[in-house]
Amino acid sequence: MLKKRIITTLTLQNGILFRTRNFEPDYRYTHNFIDMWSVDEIIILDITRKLKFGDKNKKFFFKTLEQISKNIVVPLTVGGGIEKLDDIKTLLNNGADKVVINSVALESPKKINSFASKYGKQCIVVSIDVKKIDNEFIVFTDYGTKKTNYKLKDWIKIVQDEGAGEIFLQSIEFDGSLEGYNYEMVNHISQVINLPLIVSSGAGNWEHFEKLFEFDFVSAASTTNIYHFTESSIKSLKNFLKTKKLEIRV
Amino acid sequence: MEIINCKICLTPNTRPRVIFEGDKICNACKYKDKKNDVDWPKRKNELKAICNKYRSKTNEYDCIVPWSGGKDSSSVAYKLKFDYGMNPLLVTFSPLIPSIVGVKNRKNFLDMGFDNVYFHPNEKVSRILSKRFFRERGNPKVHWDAGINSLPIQIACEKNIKLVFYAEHGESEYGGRVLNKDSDKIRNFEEVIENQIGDDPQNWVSDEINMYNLQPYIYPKLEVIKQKQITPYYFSYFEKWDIHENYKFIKSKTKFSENETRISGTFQNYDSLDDYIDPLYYYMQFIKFGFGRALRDASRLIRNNHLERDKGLEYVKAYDGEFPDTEFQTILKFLNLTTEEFHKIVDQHRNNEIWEKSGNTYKLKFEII
Amino acid sequence: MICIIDYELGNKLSIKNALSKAGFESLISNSKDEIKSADSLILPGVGSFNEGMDNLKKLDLIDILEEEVLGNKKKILGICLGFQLMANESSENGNTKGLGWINNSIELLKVKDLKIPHVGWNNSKVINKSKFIEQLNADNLLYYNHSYAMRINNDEKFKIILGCEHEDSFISLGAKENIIGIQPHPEKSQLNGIKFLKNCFGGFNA
Repeated sequence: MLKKRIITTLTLQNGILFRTRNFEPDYRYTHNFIDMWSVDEIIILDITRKLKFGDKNKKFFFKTLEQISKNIVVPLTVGGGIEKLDDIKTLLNNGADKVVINSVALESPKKINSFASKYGKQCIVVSIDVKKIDNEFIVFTDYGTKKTNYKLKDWIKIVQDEGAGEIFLQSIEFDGSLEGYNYEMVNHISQVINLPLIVSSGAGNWEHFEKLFEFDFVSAASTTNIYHFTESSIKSLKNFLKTKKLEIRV
Repeated sequence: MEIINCKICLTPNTRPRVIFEGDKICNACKYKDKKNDVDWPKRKNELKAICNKYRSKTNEYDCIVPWSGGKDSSSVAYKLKFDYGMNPLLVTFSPLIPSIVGVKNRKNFLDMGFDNVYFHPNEKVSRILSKRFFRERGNPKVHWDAGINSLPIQIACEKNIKLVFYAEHGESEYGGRVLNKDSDKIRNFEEVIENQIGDDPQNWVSDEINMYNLQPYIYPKLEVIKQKQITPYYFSYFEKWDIHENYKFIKSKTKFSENETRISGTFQNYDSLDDYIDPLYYYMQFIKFGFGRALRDASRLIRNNHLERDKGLEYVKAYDGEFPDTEFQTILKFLNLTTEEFHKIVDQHRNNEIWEKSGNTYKLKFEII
Repeated sequence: MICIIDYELGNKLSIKNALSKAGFESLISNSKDEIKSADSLILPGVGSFNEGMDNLKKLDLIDILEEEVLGNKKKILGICLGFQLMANESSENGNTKGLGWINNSIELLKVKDLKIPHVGWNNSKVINKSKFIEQLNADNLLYYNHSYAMRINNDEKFKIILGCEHEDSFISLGAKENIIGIQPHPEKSQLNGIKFLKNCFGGFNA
């Protein structure tokens, strides 16, 4: 049986691990205690503002990426600032198994298709940042600051049609909140989602994960809480979920 | 990232959640200016009104003061009882390693006519958690933070006491991210969980620790707190907060003893005295963010005009980041670590943004100016 | 020395790191000399089928591979797309011809309750015992990430070792003399993956 996945998502600013709140980095942390074994996958996002792949300052990100990927024996998905095919190639050559794209897809949805054609659908994860405005779930860009014209359900349909492999869904208001995932948002897309879905933002206690998996179309739960990244936390979480009879890799 | 420090109070931008908006003045200093604009007599009347409403007519406990016996919480307790005529119950979550001067100060204060619930959590559990959090987060007091957050509210729920008076709102007083506009008046549980504890204590179940062990640290259900109408206030909202004034106040009214010597890592001997593990907590702050206790203490005093900036800078250069020699063996024993293990953990928390290694020693990449 | 074939597709570095954890030295190369002198080969793969075949042709690797694998019976492990390329053809991007070493086709996954791509940790059923899967944990949990797979076996020399345990099974692991094909990613499957690599390159055939 395909297991539900627990994913830790690291947000790096200039190569330093930061915790974020509403997408604003606010607390720096060491990456020396990140569990590489009990967790099912790791996602690493470069959230350095306005940093392109050719920029010399990107080296800080690559240095940390190298340190982490050397020891990892679970799938690694990397993103942040990808604009072109070459950027994907660079990441795959630096330890990434899959890549995450966001803004580039919003600017030009056809790029999803072109990236997937070259590197395989299973390599391309599209990340979507959402905020609720006037009772509508709206897709945002630019690190959660700029509103797009896309409603969430419509954008998901486009992303799926263009051939993405997975969707990584974040809720801007819930980012860093510890009060639970945005279950309303997840419920909202239940009829349109047909790709493997990773939900992030808001993971606090282990019951929140249990509640998220009650939506059986959710394939993976991501946490950006740095305190969940340690081996003790991941083991504790998985043991809890196992007692709730969820299909989890322990 | 360019490391800068506040033109007024010295605080560097490495401090978590501090905000600098283009000019080199931190949000704590800006807040302090705002404090001058506050209508303090109005706020005092607000407190009077709250007290009048909830004061027990039968002299039963009508408010809880989370209390360590230090100058700040004792000031709050004293004023509530003797100035506002309330019947406070003092609630203490035992320091991890209680200091002698702390015990003495608590006894002397209680002798003035207070009741105290002193909660002593299982020490074996406490030491396991302390070791875990020291290792993973470079902070041995995470569970203590959870405890002092939960215990007063747990007791408020049990005894149906509607008022809880914490001392000051750290995020606004000392620089941090304030989640909503009332958080400097009423303690926001989400804010505490996110900023101080960072994680839900229920998650700390492991091979060594079970739910029973975690009872002291788990916050009561929000629905219960709401139903019992319990409100945790910050005293700093009603009275202009100044830790140096608190010190003078408590010295004048009670038998308050300072530490016999200068506390390691700083220049003073009267703030934060009750736990021998505190020097390690502040030392790790230095390791993680490049500033220690001396800077923390100096910045608070400078901000309230009790210390000249230049003098503060001198203290920082002399004492900031000082290794906790005096308490070291006690701390090692408590955490059940060897010296090597200890230093290995410390070094894992140095980020290379602010530290550079030269040979076997580490040097800070920036200087407080 | 194991040679991980560099045809510009695939997470070669992950494979190299995993091999090293399993105790094997490896190099990443597409040089004919290094392919010839290697003891064993790995054909990695993350990407699309026709991109894979195009790259192999573009880098002029097909002849040397056939010489070493079919001629000299050098051991070769195909991972994910690498495994798929060894088949006759794939229906991905319209019908594309593969290397034809295994007389089967690659088709789009069609499993009830399984989304496409099939991504995550999944169990597999033992169809035929084999030393390759010795000491893997009881349910052979491995990490998958694919939309296409080898679903039917028409090649009597190709032995299916593991079938993924969903109704419309597909082949997770199979072997034909010196040719081994694994659909999931052992280099990303932690202990089970490392054990598999140890078994695979530890010195015996199917």
